[in-house]
Amino acid sequence: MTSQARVETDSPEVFVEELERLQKKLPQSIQATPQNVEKGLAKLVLTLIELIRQLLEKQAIRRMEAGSLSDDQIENVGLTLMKLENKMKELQAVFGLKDEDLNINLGPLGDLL
Amino acid sequence: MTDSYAAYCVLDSDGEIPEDVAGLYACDVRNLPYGGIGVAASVLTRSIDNLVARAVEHEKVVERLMKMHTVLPMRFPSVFGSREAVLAMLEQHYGDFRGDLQRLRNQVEFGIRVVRPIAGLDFGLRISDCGFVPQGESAFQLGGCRGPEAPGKLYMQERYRRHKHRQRLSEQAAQFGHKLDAALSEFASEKRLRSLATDRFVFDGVYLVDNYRRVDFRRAFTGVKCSEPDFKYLFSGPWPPYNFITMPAAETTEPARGAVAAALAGCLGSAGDGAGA
Repeated sequence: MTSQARVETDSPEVFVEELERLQKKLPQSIQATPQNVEKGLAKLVLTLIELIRQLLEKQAIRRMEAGSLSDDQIENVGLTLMKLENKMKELQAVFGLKDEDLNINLGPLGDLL
Repeated sequence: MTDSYAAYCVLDSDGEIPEDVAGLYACDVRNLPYGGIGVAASVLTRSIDNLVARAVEHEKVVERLMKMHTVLPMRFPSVFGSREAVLAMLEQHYGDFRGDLQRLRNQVEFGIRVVRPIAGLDFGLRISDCGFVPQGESAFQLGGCRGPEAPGKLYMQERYRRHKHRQRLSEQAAQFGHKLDAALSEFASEKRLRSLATDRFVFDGVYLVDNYRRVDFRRAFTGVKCSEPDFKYLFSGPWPPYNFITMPAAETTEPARGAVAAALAGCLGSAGDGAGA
């Protein structure tokens, strides 16, 4: 039994891959159990830290483009962001979270990150 | 479980539905009429299993009725606890349904998605491709980094490269999106353009098209596709106008919510522990 509407593409595998990736970004069921509540909280906190990290990075890039940061300042900002990213990776590993887990779907507004 | 009703669509008729239209589990689909319009629904006597097959059955009913009537497709699964619950929903949103049925008469929906052929952000772009011009003596100098003794600067170079690349991809998607949308809009009565869900997407939209303009719409799409052969395209339809129903989402009543939960119970149970609240 098939639908009468047609789906036409010359690259079905490309779209299957991309739609599967999209599926992972859709809101997942909330599974609050004593075992995973810690992971859920870590996911939320790390997502917010990642948001702040990305905002800092964008601001730094904007200032670099404008030429308002000295070499030393760029070095300092870079080191700070790099250490923060490394620390985030460590915490993600501890809680078993992947990069794509650090996001919040805001419904019609799209994803937070 | 007590008999529930699986609803498929609202239609602009209170007449009978042909006997050979079969719904979920091959059950007869009936029109539950109210005020000159109706809801196509069938009795549901068991839990819904095998969601994909059932979703196709649902879609097939809607598409069949779409050939005879103007329809407002309902999401799968739309399960109501009783016939009275279906009619209460119809009564509650009667004005909205009437308005949408009028607006969507002889209209079908087409979906178009376009992606880049290569996955990921890194297409081998070099920092020198970014077109960055330092703004002062102390600015971020391309290629002038001090090597391993300046890891922070190297890190920022990489982040800058990624930022510029993402920016360029975004501009490219916007430019292409405008071109495709301009060509398609000429033959569409309404459209919904979605935000690009992943970096690889360059276009994601659905268009409402008058039946008599379907061929022109398709021709416009093919024209853009041929002029931009590097992208990958997906064209789908004609669909019932799922994305163009303007009525607010119905407040699900407790009995209806219970009926959906009961109907899906078997399915969720067989899906394992992964299906939560």
